[in-house]
Amino acid sequence: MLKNLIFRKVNRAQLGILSLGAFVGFLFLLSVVHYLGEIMNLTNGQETLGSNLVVAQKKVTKYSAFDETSTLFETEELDRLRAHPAIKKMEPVVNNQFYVSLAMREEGLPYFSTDIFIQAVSNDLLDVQAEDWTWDENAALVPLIMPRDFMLMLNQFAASYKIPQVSEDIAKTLNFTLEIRGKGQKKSVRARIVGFSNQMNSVLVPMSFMDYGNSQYAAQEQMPVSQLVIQMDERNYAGFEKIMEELNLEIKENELLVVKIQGMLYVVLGALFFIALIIIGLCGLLILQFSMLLLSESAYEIQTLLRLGYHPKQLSRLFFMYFLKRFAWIILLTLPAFFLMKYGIDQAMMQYGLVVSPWPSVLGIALLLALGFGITFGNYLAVTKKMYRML
Amino acid sequence: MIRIENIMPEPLAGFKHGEQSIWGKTFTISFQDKILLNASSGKGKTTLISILFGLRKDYSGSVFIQEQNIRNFDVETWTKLRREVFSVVFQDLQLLPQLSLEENLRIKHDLGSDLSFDEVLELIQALGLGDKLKQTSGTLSFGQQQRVAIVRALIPSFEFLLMDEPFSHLDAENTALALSLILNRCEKLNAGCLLSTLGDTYNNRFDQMLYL
Repeated sequence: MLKNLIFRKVNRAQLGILSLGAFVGFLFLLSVVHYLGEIMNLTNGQETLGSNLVVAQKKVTKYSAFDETSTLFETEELDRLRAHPAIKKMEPVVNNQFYVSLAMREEGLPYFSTDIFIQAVSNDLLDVQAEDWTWDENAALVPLIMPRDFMLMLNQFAASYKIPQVSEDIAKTLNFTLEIRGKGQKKSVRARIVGFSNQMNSVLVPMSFMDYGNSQYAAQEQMPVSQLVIQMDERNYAGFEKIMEELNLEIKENELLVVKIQGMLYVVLGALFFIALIIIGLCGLLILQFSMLLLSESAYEIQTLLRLGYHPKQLSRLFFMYFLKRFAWIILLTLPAFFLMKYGIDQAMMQYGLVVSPWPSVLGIALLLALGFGITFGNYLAVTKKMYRML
Repeated sequence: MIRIENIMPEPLAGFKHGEQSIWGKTFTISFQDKILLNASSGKGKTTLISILFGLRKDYSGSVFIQEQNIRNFDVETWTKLRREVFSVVFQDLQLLPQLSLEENLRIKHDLGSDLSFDEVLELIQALGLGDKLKQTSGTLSFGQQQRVAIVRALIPSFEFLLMDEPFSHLDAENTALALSLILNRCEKLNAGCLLSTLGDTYNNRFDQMLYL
């Protein structure tokens, strides 16, 4: 009865427009937060577009080509890179300082044996999460991570010689033999592929195997650093590009492209996030104005109720519940609308090979609930204040 | 107990008041007193009731309720007073015209009463409005509305009843009926009342007479 009395003069058209505005703002906000979260996942290693790991080395110029030490990193340069704000993490790529050859003898496949160049990088800067990526001196196998480009090259070779092509899964079952030599010693160990990397262009072995090989078979003790794995802060791409230029470093252009796209999406979605917040903020202000108008229109009824002994908070609580229920409905309607829109967007993204989470962002939903409650509570406080003055 | 010390409403400050007038004087009212406030039009009857009920603050002097200056009362205190201590029949009645007669009574009854709602309906029937319970109060005559406002004021378990010319549009029969209901209810609650009038003495059924 009280609610009907106070909200009798509600302008339904105004309320409908307000609700529609809040719905659009919420839908916008949830979508933006969801897709911002998807992009941020890149930095957590859950790839959508690619990781923010890059492999950098010094550019080879016509002058440096004759000076083999000019492409090596000095300690000061490494310290400077480590301390740079655009770089989250950086580790040198460790090269083998001993001889390595790789051989394969499998039925149905041509025998091959070749000298290879192997590298090792710190596990937390690896773009592959492979099982069995460990090695110790008692291990039966040396796990290998191959460059994905190598598989493409191998299969093109196989196709041209009319021999069976090899899938990644089949490649992981092949048995290889690694022969390591140096300081007058020689050793053969079995090896198997456990994963494929997009970042690295060389055969990767666990750091423990590399340390073992370099300590037992390498002639020189000092390990020169010629390549680095860097985890950059994609939100500081400009700073990263500047330090790369200053130190005359080069990285794969397509790796930069991913970061550039990430950066662009950050800016666009960030701008949309603020637009959504502005829409919701305006809705909040309009709800406040709407409530004040309603208070003025129902001033006689409210004053009468206050004179009869109703407490202002007892009446303003009606406003709180009225808008809380309305926001609950708006959020409930926002969710199916979001799923519908997300389905369409995700289908389009899948055509470009981008896979995103099927679940909406928990942060986005929490933000909607917090904003809905915040606007309702702010409105309740303003209405209470006004009612206190009407007493 | 209400203690009034030298109060003078600002709009009446420039006028000369008679010797019997309470304006500018100090006196006390017990919550058990039944007082008739007699004054001609424009002397401040509604103003006094509004001051006692906390609706007006444009006065000099002080009013104490239970030894507390009402100027210091906060929203919580006024709400408690209006719910538990005072009940009022306003001169302009303050009914909710879009609600039915029954709803107008129920909205007050919902705040608490020692009467059941059926007992409230018996009061309205006693005043001859039992057949108009579903009628919106805005469509009743002013006299009928006055009777609704009187019954509404009798619902709570008040300590002191303020009435501002409650019988101005009632005939003698209805006035007598309403007055009996009021005094019986006050008796039952051991409560007092203050009734403003333009000169009627109501057969001297009140303990005390105040003038403005």
